[in-house]
Amino acid sequence: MVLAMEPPPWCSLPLDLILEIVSRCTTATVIRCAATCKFLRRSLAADPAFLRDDRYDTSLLAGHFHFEKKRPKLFDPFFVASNSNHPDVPPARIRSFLSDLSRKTFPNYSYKPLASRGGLLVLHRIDRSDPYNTPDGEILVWNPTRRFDCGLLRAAGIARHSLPPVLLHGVAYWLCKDSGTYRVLSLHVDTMEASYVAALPPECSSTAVLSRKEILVVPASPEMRLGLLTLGGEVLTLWALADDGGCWTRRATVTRERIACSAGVSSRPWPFQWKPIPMELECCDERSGTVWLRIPGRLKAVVLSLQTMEMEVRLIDRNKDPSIVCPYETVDFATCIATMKQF
Amino acid sequence: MASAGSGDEKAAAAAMITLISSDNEKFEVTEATATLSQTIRHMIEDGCTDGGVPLPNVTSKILARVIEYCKKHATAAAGEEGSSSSFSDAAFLEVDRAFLEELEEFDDAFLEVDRATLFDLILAANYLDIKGLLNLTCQKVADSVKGKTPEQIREMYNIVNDLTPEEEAEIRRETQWAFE
Repeated sequence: MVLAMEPPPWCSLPLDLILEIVSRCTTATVIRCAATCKFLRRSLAADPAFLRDDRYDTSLLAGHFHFEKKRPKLFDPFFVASNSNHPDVPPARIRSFLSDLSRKTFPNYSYKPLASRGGLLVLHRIDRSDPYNTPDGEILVWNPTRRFDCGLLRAAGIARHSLPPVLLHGVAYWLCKDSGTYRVLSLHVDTMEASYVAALPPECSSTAVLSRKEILVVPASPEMRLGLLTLGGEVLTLWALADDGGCWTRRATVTRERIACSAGVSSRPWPFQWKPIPMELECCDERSGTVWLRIPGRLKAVVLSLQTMEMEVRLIDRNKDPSIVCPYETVDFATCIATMKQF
Repeated sequence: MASAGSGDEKAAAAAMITLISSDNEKFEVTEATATLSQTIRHMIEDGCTDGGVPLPNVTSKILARVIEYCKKHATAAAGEEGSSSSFSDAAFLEVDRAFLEELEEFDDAFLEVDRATLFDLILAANYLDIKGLLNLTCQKVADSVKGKTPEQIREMYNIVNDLTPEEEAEIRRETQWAFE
């Protein structure tokens, strides 16, 4: 009797090897694997810690939201997907979700993304008929991957242009100005204790030297320590705070020249021949470790990877305002798997 | 120069290791090839390789393939050491790049095996602690399920579906985006 050679079931491998394979898959693939049988589902959920290995994951960055330059109240934000075709969230789905939201659910409002974290998006709901464009308003929390998950809360005094904090290991960090110097304020989310972290390096602590768009708080790879990006003089510098929180050290530098070159901007615009090429740091995407850099007056932006310091160019639509962007990152592995329902 | 070279060759020829598969087949390999496996490296360091290294978890069929991989990659490792010590000119880098390409082609061809063999290779790479081979084979499995539906994954890897239709529907509802 001849038996056909059956491929062995995946679950015949020891668990650590299953995890070895799964850690090389995209989030969507892992979720599909977890939908094949109970054993795999249980095994993956049992130890999501293996995926929580504190590293940047650029595949989490699904894209950025942009806004109309004129009459932002009348138009919905526009979603631009990352260059690399995002495997986990189809761009069309994100594009359509905002227009669905405004046309079907709450037709008298437009929505402005303020921040995103773990796949959730925080939206500022703006009343289209409000002539004063009041900064106070309603905040929606939306999960683009699930159509009907939506929470609404009223919030007062939302500063429209303030950047969301960087959140690392349960501590939120904001950049603040304090009598002519930049400082970083930390807030422990659990204990609500607030304090300043170590003074910034002397060359980048003065508000007279660096403008507000030349300094940005970021997570520093690979341990997700607190980091700082500064555009002082001719170079962009990535600083990292030491483990004991005592001092800042230089991690990496890139010249403005190289950034400009990567964006195809070779000549310095008049009257900047003798000055550094103007650049602005817009926003940072925590889990994917990318930073949005803009060259004023150009319809191009540069997306910089904090891990490799490599750059990618994004073209900006003439009608969109490149100075207001909001990154959107999908939910990461560990969170997704830890919240899976078991059977 | 020439005499030193032949001396090295003699030393290398002397350091042969015998590996014994689960079905009692003997394979003779150089120490450089064998030490790609951390497990065997430790055995050599402990001096317990006289009379051959028994590998009761690896069949002769799989061991032959693993040795094929190690031989190729051991020469690659030796080449890298050479390039860092004495050669750094462009011509040598060119040769280096060609060799790396060749190595990549070798890896691709090496992975053209049925799934049962692929799993045996993963188990062997894990047991023998060969980082490169484990990485290569696990990546191959990960790539093979990319973009597949749960049903396709079950078929490919012979997984028995023990979820009820209701449970499956709930999973889809919960993480619908992952199934689009």
